[in-house]
Amino acid sequence: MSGTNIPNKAASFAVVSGKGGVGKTNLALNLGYALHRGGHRVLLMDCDLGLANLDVLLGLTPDKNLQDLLSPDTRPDDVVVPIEPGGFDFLPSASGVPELIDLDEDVQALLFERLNALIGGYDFLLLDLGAGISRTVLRFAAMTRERLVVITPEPTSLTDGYAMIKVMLTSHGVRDFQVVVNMAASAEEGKRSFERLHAACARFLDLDIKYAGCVRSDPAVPRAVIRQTPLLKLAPGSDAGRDILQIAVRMKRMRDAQLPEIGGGSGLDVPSGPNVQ
Amino acid sequence: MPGKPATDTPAFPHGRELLAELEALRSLLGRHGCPGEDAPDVLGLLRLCPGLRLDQWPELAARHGLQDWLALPLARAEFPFLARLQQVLNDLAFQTEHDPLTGLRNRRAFDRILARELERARRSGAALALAMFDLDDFKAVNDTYGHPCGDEVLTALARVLLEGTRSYDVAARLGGEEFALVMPETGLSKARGIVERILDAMRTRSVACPEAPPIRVTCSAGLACRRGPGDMSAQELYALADKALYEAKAQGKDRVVAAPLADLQPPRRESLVAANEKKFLFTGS
Repeated sequence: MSGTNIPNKAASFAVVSGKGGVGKTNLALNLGYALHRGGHRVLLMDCDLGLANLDVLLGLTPDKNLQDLLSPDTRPDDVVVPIEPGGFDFLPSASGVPELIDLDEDVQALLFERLNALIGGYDFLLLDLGAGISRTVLRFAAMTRERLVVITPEPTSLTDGYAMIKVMLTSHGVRDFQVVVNMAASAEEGKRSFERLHAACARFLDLDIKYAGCVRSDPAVPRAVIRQTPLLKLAPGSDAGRDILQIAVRMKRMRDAQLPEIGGGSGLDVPSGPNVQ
Repeated sequence: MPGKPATDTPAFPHGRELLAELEALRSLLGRHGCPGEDAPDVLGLLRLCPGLRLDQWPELAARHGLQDWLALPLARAEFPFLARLQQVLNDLAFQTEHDPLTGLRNRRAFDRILARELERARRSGAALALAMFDLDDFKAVNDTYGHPCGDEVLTALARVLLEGTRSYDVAARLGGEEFALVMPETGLSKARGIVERILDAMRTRSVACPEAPPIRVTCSAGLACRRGPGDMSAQELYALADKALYEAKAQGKDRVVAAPLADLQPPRRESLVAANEKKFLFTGS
C-alpha cells in the first residue's frame, strides 16, 4: 500500500442503481451536502466513469479528473475540487471516454492505490457509480463498506435494483445493502416499494436488506438541478430536502457504529479480483 | 536486464530468423537438455551462420542471453564442405515441412503449428480461427485441361493464401486440393472477412494454363473458431472446420460456412434474475 500516514476514519458508501434515471447522482450530491452541513469532511467521487455528470449538477468545469490520477505526475490533491469550503470536496470524472467504462484489472488496482492515499482525511466517502452492472461498477461497489441502492417505486426499477443486488451477492459475496426509494409519491409508497424488494431478497436470496429511507417527489428537485445548486442549499425545508436529511442522519449513525472497525482498514477495500470471469 | 528488447533488428543477414531459432532451441534445451557435468555423453550442436562475424557475437550474446553458447569462427573458403552440408541440411529441413509444389507448409508442419497455436491461445485466452479450403470441381480441371493445369490452379490458390493473409497467419497445403489457414488471435467475424477476401480473390483470378485458355476456379471454405479459456483439441477444431467445409460444398460451393461457436460460455446461472423472481417483484406473490 502506498504510504499514507493519516489514520483512516472514512466511512465509504457506494451509491448504485440498476437502472439509470432514478436520481442517483443528485441524491449522492445532496447526501454529501447534508453530511458536510452536519460538520463532516466529505469527498464526493464521480465514479460514473465515461459518462460523468456530477460536475454539471454542481456547475463546475474541473480541468483535471479521476483519470489524471493514473499519471504519476499528478498529485491527488490537484485533482480534488472544493464544492464548499471546510471539507466538502469533489473528485471529478470524465465524460465520453468509453475506455474508462471497462478498466482492466491493473489500471483499476493503480487507481485504487492512488485513491486510498487521498481519502484518509475525510469522514465520508461517497462514490457515485454509473447505472448498470458493468464489471467496473461492480468492482467499485464491492470495495465500499456500504452500498446505497437507489430505486424508484416503478416496477422496472425494482427488478433492476434486485438484479444489481443479486449480481453483487453472487459474484462478489456482498451482503450489505441499504435501499433508498427515490421519487416516491408518499412515505407509504416508498415503504411499500422497499418491502416488496425486501421480501424478494429474503425469499430468493436469503438476504436481509435494510431500509435507508425514501425521498418524496418534489418540484424543488428539478428546480435545484436547473440552478446547479444542491437542493439542500436551495430548499432545505422541502419534502425531499427533509427526507434526504433523515437519510444522512442514518448514515452518520452507521459511521458512528462502524468507527472502531474503520480505523484499522483502508477506506476502500481493494479486492484481489472479482470471482467472475 | 539488457537495455534493449530482444526484438531489435540485428545487423546481419537473416538475423531475426537466427535469433528466433536460437530462442526456440534454448527453451527446448531448458526443458529437456544439458543434464550435467557427469553425464558420459556429450553432444555438440553446430549451426553455421553465414554473414555473422565474431566481433558481432559478444554483444549479441550479451543482449539475448546466449553467453553459454560456443561461437567458433570459420572462414567460409576454408570450409566449403561444411558450408555445403549446412545448405543441404537447410534444404532438407525446409522440405520436411513444406509442400514442394506450392511452397506452403505441409501437413506435418500444419499439425505442429496448429497444436502450438492452440496451446498459446489456451494460455492467453485469445481466440484462434482455422479455415479449411477445398478447390471446387478440381477433378474436372485435371480431367479437362490436364494435370499441369491442375498444378497451376493449386499454385494460384497458394499464392492467394499467401498474399491475402497477415504475416502471422499460417497457410498450409494438407494434400490434394485441400488447404488450411491458421489465424492466431482472430475471432470468427474477422476470420470470416479474411476468408471471404480469399474466396473473392480466387473468383476473380484467371489461371494461365500451358496450351489452354485461361480458366477460373473457385473454392469453398469451412471456418471454425475457438475462443475463451476453454479447452479444445486440434482434432476437435479441425473436425469442426472440416464439417463446415462439407456444408459449404453441400450448399452449392464457392462460399464459406462457419461452424457454430463450440465453446460459448453459458450465462452465469446464479446471478440470473429468474422469471418467478421478476413476477414476485411486479405482483408481490
